[in-house]
Amino acid sequence: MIVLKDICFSYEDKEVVKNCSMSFDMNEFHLLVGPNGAGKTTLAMLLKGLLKPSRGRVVSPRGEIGDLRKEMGFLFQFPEDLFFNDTVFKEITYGARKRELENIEEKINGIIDLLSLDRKILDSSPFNLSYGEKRLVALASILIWEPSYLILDEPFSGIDWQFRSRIAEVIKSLKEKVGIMIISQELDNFISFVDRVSLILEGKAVFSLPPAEVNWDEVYAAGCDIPSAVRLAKKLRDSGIELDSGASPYTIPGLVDALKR
Amino acid sequence: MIKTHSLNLKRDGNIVIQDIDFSWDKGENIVIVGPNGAGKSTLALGLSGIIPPDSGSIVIDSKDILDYDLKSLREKTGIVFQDPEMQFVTTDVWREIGFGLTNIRADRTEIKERVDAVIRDFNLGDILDRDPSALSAGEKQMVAIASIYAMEPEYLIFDEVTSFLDRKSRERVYGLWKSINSSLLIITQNFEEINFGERVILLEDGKISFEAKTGDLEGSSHFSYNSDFFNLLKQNKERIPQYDRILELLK
Repeated sequence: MIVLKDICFSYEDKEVVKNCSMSFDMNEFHLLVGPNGAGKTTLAMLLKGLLKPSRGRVVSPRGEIGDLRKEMGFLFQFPEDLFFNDTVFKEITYGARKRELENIEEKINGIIDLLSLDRKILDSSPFNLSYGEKRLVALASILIWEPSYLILDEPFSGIDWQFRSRIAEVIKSLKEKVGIMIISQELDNFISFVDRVSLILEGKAVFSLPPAEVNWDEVYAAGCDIPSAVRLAKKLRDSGIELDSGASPYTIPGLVDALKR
Repeated sequence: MIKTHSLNLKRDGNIVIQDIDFSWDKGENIVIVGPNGAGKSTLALGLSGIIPPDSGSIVIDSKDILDYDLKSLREKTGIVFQDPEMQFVTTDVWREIGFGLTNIRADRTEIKERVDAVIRDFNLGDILDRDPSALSAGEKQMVAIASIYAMEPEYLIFDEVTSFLDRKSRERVYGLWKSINSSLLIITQNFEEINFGERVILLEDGKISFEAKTGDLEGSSHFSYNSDFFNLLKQNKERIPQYDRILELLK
C-alpha cells in the first residue's frame, strides 16, 4: 500500500495537485477518472516517484516505498514516442537487459503469447509497426521484467477497436497477478473488472469507491465519460422503463439482469 | 474541391497509400475510419501537403498541390494531429495559437484580434501564459486545435483529435465541428463521430474499401470484407454494439 498524504504539486506557478490524500493498494485494479487537466497523470507520476511533491508526503505503512516503486511499471501516454531501438526484440527486452534478468528468450516467448503478437515482428523496426502493435510492444517492454504493479496512462487512446479489446483482455488476465492503476477516458472495455474508482477533480480525490457505489451522475457532471450501461439505464428510465429500484448497473450484463427482474 | 488521382504515398520507404482516387467537395464533411495501420494518417499528411505524392497527384481547387507556396497552401488546408505535441513550437499558449498566422506573415493587428477571439471561443483564458508542453494531454489537444483553427483553412483535417479528450472537451470540439465554416475531414476511432460526416470512408491496407453517404449506412449490404467492422459502422448511432449485446443477453 502506498498512501499520498496531503500532497501538493505545481508546474511552473500552476498548482495541479492540491492537498490530495489517497491510497493505492498494490493488489487492486484502481481506475482514476477526471476531466482533462484534473491532475491524474501528475498523481500517477507522484505515486511512481517520478515527481516529488512540493508539500505533503508519500508513504508506505511498512516503509518499503523504494522497493515498491522499483516494481512499478509505467505505460506512459504515447509510449511509442519513447522507442529508440532498431528492432522490436531489442525494444521489448531493453528494460529486462538493463535489470540484468536471466532467461530473456524464455520471457519474451511468454510475453508474445500473452499479447498474441506475431513472432515475425521481433526482427523488424518498432517504428514500422501499426499503431496498435506499437502499443502492445510498449506494454511488452514493461511486462517482460514482471512488475508487481502497473500504471497505465490512457492505454486505449488512438487504438482501433480490435486492439482496444485485445489490450483489455490482457489487462483482465494481468489483474489476477498484479495491481493496476489505470487512467482512461474510455471505460466500457474494462469497467466490469475494476475494484475501485477515484474521481479526481482540480488536483483532489473527490471519492474513492467500488464501481457499484459510484454516483455516476457526479462523474458525468465533472465532464467525464460514464459507462454505456449507466447511460443506457438512464435512457431507459427516462423513457418510462423502470429498473429495479435499488439497481444501479454499470456493466451491460448487470443492466440485462436488472431488466430481467 | 480536393481531388486525388491514382495517388500513392510512401512513409519510411514503404508504400502506404495505394492508388487512391478520392474527391472532397468544398463544404463537404467526410469521416474516415479504419484499423490502425490502414494509412489514415498518411493520407491526411498527403492531403495537407506535408508529404508529397510518390506518384499520382493531389489537386486542390484546380491547382496541383506541388504548385502551391507555403502561405497559400496553409490558407487552403490545415491538419490537427493525433499527438498534439508534434505541432508545438513555442513556449506559451498565446504565441502557439498565433504561430501559424505569424508564419504566413499575417498583419500584426489581425493576428492579435484573431488569437484573442480564438482564445475566447476555446475558453483558454486560464492557460494563456503556460508552456503548451507542460499542459495536460487534453489541454494540449485543445491548444493544438485552436492554433490550426486560428488560420481558418478552407479544408481542415482532424486526425483522431478526440481520443484524449474528456466528455466535455469532446463536446466542445463537436460544437466547433457543427459551427465551423471549413470543410472537414474527420479521422476517428469513435463511432459516434461518424454522424459528423455526410460521407463515411473505410480505409483498409492503404485503399478505400468502402464508402457511403452516412444516411445510407443502415441496411447497406454490399459489403463482405471485415464484416464485424462494417456492422459497427452501420450501427453507429448511439453506440449500437452495446444495444446488440443487451438484446443477445436478453434472448
